[in-house]
Amino acid sequence: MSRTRASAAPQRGRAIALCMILLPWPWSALADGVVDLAGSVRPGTCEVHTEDQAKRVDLPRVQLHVIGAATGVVAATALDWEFRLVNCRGVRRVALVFAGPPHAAGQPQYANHGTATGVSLHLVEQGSEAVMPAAGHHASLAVASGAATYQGRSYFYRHNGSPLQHGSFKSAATVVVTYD
Amino acid sequence: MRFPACIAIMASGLLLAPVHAQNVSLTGTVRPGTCTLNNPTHTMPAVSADKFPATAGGGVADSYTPFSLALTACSGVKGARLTFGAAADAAPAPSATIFRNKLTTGAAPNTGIWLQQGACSATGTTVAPGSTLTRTFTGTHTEALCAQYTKVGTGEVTAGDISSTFTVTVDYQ
Repeated sequence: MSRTRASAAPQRGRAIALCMILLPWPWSALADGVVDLAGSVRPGTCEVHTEDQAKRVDLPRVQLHVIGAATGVVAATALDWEFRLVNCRGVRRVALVFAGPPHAAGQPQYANHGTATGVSLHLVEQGSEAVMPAAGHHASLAVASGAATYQGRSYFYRHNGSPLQHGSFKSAATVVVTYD
Repeated sequence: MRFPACIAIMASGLLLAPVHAQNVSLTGTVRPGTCTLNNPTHTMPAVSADKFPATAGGGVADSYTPFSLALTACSGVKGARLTFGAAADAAPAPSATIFRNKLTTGAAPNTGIWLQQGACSATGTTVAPGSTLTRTFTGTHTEALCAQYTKVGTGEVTAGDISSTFTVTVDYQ
């Protein structure tokens, strides 16, 4: 009897069930990466007004006695002109640099390439009358409503170190525009 | 000697009394493995401000910057869910699907970065800040993306810098 019981004990032990449930974990194990993107935007540009492209300013015809003999600006020859930039996009300011061949080294006036002698071209800003030296005049304009306009004024300038003779008058200036 | 032997037999009879069958339940979880994730860093092209559209929403083709997120060396992974940044990375409404330009100084105004799935295009599927993409794969996975500049807000785009950094969170399956 005791043997029977003794042998039954292991059978009871097998009745114990092991139930192991392994559940899949839907989402886990966070890991991070970092995306770093960088770049830049350059200033946009403007267009030069069609009337100001290769701009020609017709200076007044003056008689020699109006120019006179004294060195200096001939006020009676004042002529206003504009340089217009339009259709600006992505531009906050424009920087202009006017320059050209000087009448003589170190002098702010522009040279005359025509046949008249004793005179040169004197450029100033409208309003301030600040001289625009031929060696380079820098101006900065804010762009508003997609446009900016530089307003200049020209004069004949008498140099009494040279004889005054009638003839044609031609002078050239270039303007370089940079954008911000 | 007989008495102790009898006690011994009785004792063994008690010890061998029937026991109740019991189940032992062991539960556990198998967590997904992980992959190695790259950290893409890209310098996007410098673009003229006049290349930006006049109104918000359009991209700038000259700024197309394709790149990819690479999940490599994956072990025990059968998929992943990628979350791109968070709402805090977004440009102000109504451009909340655009990653904002986070620079505080020298920033190009009214700009943001438009992130797209797949190849660069003018009409690609947007990956907005805080959005997710779920992918099933084994081994490795490469998620192709495209970044491009875009205009946000109503003001004009002018010169400056653009920068946007955001975290990509990956949940593995």
